[in-house]
Amino acid sequence: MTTLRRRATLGIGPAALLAAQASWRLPLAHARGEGGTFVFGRGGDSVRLDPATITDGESARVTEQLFDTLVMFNGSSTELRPALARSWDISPDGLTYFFNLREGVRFHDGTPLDASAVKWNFDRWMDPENRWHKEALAGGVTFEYYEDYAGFSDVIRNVDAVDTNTIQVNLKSPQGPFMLNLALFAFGIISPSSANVGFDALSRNPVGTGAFKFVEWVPGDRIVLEKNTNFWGEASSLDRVVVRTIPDNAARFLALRASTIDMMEGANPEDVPNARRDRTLSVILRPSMNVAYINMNLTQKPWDDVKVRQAVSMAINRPAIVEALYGGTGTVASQLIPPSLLGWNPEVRGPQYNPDRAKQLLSEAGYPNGFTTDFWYMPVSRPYYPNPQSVAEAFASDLGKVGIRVSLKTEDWGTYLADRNALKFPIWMLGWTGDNGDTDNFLFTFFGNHRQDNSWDNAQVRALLRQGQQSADVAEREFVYKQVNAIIEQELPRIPIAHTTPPLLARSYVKGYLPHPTATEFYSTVWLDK
Amino acid sequence: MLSFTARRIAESVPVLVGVSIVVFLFLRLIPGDPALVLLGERANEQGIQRMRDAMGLNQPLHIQYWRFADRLAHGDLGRSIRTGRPVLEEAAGRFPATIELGVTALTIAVVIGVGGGVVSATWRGSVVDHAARVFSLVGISMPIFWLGLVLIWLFAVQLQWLPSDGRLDSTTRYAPRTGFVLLDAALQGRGDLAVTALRHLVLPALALSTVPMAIIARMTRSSMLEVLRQDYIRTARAKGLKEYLVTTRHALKNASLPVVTIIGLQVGFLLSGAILTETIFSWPGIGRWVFEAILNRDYPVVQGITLVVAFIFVAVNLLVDVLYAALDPRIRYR
Repeated sequence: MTTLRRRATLGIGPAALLAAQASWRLPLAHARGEGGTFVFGRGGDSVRLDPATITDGESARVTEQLFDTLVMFNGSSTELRPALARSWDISPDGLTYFFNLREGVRFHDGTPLDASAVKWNFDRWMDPENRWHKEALAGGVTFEYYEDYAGFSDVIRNVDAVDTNTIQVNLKSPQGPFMLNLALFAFGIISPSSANVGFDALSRNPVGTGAFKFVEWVPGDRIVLEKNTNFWGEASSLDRVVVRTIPDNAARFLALRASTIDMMEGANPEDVPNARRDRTLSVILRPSMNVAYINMNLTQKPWDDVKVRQAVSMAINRPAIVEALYGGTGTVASQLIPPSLLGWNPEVRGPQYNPDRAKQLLSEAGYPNGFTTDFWYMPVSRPYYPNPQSVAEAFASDLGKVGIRVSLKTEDWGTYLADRNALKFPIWMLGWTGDNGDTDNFLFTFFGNHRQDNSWDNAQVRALLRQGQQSADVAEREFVYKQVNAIIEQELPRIPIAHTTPPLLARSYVKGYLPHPTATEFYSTVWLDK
Repeated sequence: MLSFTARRIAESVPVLVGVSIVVFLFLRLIPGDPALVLLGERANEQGIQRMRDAMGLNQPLHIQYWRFADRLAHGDLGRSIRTGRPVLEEAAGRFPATIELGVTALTIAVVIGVGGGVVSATWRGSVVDHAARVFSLVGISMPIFWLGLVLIWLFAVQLQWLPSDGRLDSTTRYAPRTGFVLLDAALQGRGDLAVTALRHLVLPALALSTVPMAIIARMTRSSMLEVLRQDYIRTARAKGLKEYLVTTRHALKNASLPVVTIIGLQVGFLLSGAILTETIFSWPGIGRWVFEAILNRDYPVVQGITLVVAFIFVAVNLLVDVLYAALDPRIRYR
């Protein structure tokens, strides 16, 4: 075996590495109520319950309760703690990872969780010739998180089962956020024997090691889970969890007020102050891991001129918009990453509202009388823009005051995404919600490649982002990302608008819910104080 | 009659083939890509192509249609490209919910609509007539979306008499046999299940029935007024027949032809109205499913369900035609 040393330099907090030495137990601040059914209301149904092949949050919400990953986020932070792997070792060159699995863990079907089961999962994710990989492709689905979002297909060379409880992962090149990526829902470990029934059945009858076991799925209505009494961690105090689909935001809020459901996500912004006033309800804010921004096509006039971009940024009264239209759940963004992320630069103040200076900049850019353009806004609300049309109207009003006359336009969501990828819009609204709590997941996605909706051709930034992605040194990465944020402030390829803390509304008797910035949330910590 | 029915069934085949082609083409003509909708903000070119390959969307259009038609000929509506599950299987789980809701709503609409229309026409110009006319005007103008939210707010949140959403309580468990909860409750002898299902059915069925109820009431009233002016009604009264017999046996039967036509047309409304009702009341039926499938560009689901709905519409129209003959012996089919 190669000489190994434990490292705290791969984007993982030292606390997580200390925690790796100890077996994990949930911290309990209160005495917990026992039993009961927790009903969560959400806007859409799950697509399927195979964590490796899903990309939507509504499927992940359920698979997170059923499956465990090798490592997991610690409470509401993006630090890591052991999960199925009770500890891990990393080689000095950052290319070899050894995971020591927790012993005695069993899947819900009674089969053991061991190194061969974990290897089986890696093989299914990574090998296009693998039988179960091919079955999934034949079922019309792909392994997007492995292939793309986590970038593992470019990084992982192979995986071996060293012994019954040790798994070795060999990388082609170091990846800064490798461990954080492993905590993503997509890398939940499924029972190999559950795959023998075929991909269809596997997607509908999930078998993991999680705190809850799957009971039933009534499509479009509910998914029912029950407590796993053999869970390796702290068993949930809940007997049962029902995840209900209630598509309309207003109807979902009424269902919460009528106590049909215990908790909900996706409230209309105007309902949040109402919930705050209602003593029987509580508002839980999910820590921010998103950014709303304005993007521009820098390959076209007038957006190729930085003075025009600066003029736009100064024309928009961001504090007033956030105050008026975010229902108390937003903060003005100075940068394109939330303040909690590595490399957030305190010296970057972000655009300051100054319409006079904006007019002056437009004159200097050769537009003393302003200009006319189409401004595209999103047809759907997202956590970072809960009210896109109203925000777009406010933008249009502010821009009009400095002479930029915008015509507001929108189209259906799928077309909107396609058109922004094809750079068909001159200026448009969009945003991002982080997957893994790493800066790379924001900035490399935005500017790491000169393709898709990135029209900012900046080789220096691309090189810095590549360096940040491959570095194993936290200090180096922090320095790199601070530099990138400073350059972005100067060049303004996108204008940061806001970060939000998406609200979750609950009956006041719901206790112990730990909101997580990446929305990786576990119902096993919840108890009902009825 | 038999040959007429057989001919009408045969005629419906090209209608359904036409519907399948139009829906297939229109779906692909409208902008949007299912892979993009699924990938959202994260969509990049490689991911989109990978997903489109897996979904079979990179094949030429005529090949895609041929595969769809071939499967259809074998009774297979294909698989949802979003969930990967067979459309027929998913539809089978959702149709009973929509049918249960639609039949209840239609029953409410017909009973109250026809009753209200008859009463209104019989006591024309009375307070009852004015009230019924105002009610029907309001009913027609009322957006289901708004009405649904008001009903939930009043009966579920304020009065707490009825549940706000869904077909069953979150804690209710039962093993579906037919998918029709009320029928299953009867088959399994479970009174508790029937009560829960009925309580959940009241608000959405009321919301969905409002517009058809108002239309049926107005049509019944005007049709009845027309018939009540006829000579044979005067004759019936002159020979001393009791008024309720004049109304029900002579007037209503003759006035019912246009009403039956309107009721048949309301089936189409119920299917479209179900989209809104099912969304507001979280009713896991076909309407909401198709609506979401359109937004997600889930082609096989939209194609399959449109065909099934077209079939239902053709069947209901045929039934209405057959009913004409039963109601009016002068009508002959050739």
